[in-house]
Amino acid sequence: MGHEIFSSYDYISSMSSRGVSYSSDEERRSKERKHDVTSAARQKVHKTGKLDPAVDPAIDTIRRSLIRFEATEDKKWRVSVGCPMDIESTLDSTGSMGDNVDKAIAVLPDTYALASEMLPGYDVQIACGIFGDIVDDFVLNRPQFEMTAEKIVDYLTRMNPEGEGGDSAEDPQYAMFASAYFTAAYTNRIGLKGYFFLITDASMHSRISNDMLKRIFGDNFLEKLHENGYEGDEIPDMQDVAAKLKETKHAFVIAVEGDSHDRRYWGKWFGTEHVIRVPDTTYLPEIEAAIIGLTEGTLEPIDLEVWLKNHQVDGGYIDYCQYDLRKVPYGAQRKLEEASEYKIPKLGDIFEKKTDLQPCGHENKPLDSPDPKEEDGSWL
Amino acid sequence: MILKDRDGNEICSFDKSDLLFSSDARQIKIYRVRSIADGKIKLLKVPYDKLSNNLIQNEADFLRFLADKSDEFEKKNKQLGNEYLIHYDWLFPVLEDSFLTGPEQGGRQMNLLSIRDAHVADFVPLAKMFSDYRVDARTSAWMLGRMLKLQTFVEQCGASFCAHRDYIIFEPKSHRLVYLNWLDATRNPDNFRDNVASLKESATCFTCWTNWYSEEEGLEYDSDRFTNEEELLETYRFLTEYPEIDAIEAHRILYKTLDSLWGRNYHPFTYIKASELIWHSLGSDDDFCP
Repeated sequence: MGHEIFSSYDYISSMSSRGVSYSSDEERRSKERKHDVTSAARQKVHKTGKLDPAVDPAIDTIRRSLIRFEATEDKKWRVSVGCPMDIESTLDSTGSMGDNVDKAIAVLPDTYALASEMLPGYDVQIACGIFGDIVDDFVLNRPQFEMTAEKIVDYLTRMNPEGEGGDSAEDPQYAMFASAYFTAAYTNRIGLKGYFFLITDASMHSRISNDMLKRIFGDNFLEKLHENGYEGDEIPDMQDVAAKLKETKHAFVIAVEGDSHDRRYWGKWFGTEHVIRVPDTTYLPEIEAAIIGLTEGTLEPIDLEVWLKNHQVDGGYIDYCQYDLRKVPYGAQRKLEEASEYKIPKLGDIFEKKTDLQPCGHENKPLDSPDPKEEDGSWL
Repeated sequence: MILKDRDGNEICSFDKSDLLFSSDARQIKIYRVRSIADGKIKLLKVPYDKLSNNLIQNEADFLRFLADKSDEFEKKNKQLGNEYLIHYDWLFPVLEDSFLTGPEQGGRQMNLLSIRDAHVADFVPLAKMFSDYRVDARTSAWMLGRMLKLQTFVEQCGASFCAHRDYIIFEPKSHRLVYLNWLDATRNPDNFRDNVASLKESATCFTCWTNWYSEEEGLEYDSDRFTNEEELLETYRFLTEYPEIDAIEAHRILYKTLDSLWGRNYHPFTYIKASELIWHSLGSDDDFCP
């Protein structure tokens, strides 16, 4: 599986090969700069009536985030990058959010770089999809987790944002379903969680329908559920989906033009401390990175405002979302790590077999953890 | 021991025996410390590890918010032509500094706190006195009045917090009371249940601390022993049993009772130790060291 990671050079090459070039980073992220990277894909969908296999949730339905290895001379396996960290985002592509794929591609280098800054030593793996409405031809476009610029640009340009409809309730619940039940991530196997971001300016039709599941994931979706470890015979309902998502992901809603009503509404599904209201999607990479950093404990709450300012986030934008960002559960991933029995693999760790959970010498051994009830002397 | 921030600047010095509070639930401790900058005694909030840094930051943000709001209220009060100061800022600590320690001290965030217009060293934790002492009704009344004033202020700011008696400190001679725990305070006005719980906690705390109350007999009013306090006791009962009223109303009810009983005259801090039978009233030259 290699050791390639995202590089800006590869990104520029990938975009250039698709006829898109930028004179500067400012131009690339400018609101005025228009792209139309999915026009070819949309034309193909219009012609064939089928979604591209790379982003069709019905094909290879279970999306995997795996640890990457390279073979050693003595037939073992060396971790070639680091522990994988799955970061999935699903973007509203309806109505006024219809150009989100274009924006996602434009900010991709920043998304990757800033997330990696907050995840030192990890193999950042990104799945950036879109969702619409059940009246759309295709409710969900969901790719695999990818690590290189070429692959990510490729799947983004194969998406089919339909951009129909207004800003009333949409159907992201199927994206939540996919992330909860159709993801196989190494992070979960060692007691950690990946990341899930739902970016929307609307509320949700909170109903899971058997017909829609078949339409999106294929007639045999129940088999696929079982394949990925689901044990029930009834399809999960919305409460099950929300619970499962929170069990496996640090799941957040980024509510565009969100107000107190949106915080309460999404708070019912995700928890209010997992709802971040933003005025628009201009600084999405920075907001996602801040969330990841606070959750990982690599961004201190005291440094949040300065960090955002240092990354050129507008002062008014910071004021808008700072209150919510300060409620993100700081260090939540570290608490999971402390509670887990597992070592987080690092670059260069050796595994006996690719399917092993832990590197050599750490097979299922509980890690030592400090006793928090020690006497005063240990506090200082 | 000297505590330094992550840039190596010395902040304060203290000994582990200077512990004021310890909270198992949050693994946060409060120490009395000496500030390196000005040599004064202050309070330092210390988390066990850095995973509580967000709570410390939340408290820092909230204290700045309260300080700004207090200034706003004073300005409005002056614009109404009033010469007196409201002094909501006497009820919560001053945030002197919020800093991260270096990695050798766990990369923890800590809040350095002081008390406006008063000396930290003169303050007594209520928790230290609760079991072994009782106060008379007028003493508990002025203290409850301070807590209700604080809650009135917080509610008017559109915020909420969950009060607990362990975080109340007071200076008995000048009738100062300060509440120290703002880790979970929030500017979300929807959290009205926290404010209701705070009101109930305050009323219950001071009801139980008054000499009407004993561990063995519970709340018992002996009209032979206590004269003209029954009305106050009934007010306390009401606030304890029906805390769903807002703090402004609770404050009004309490002071209506106090005005009818005693007026607003100064009453010295008057207490009795459970193991003694002698009442003490704290004079201006007396020291108080429970």
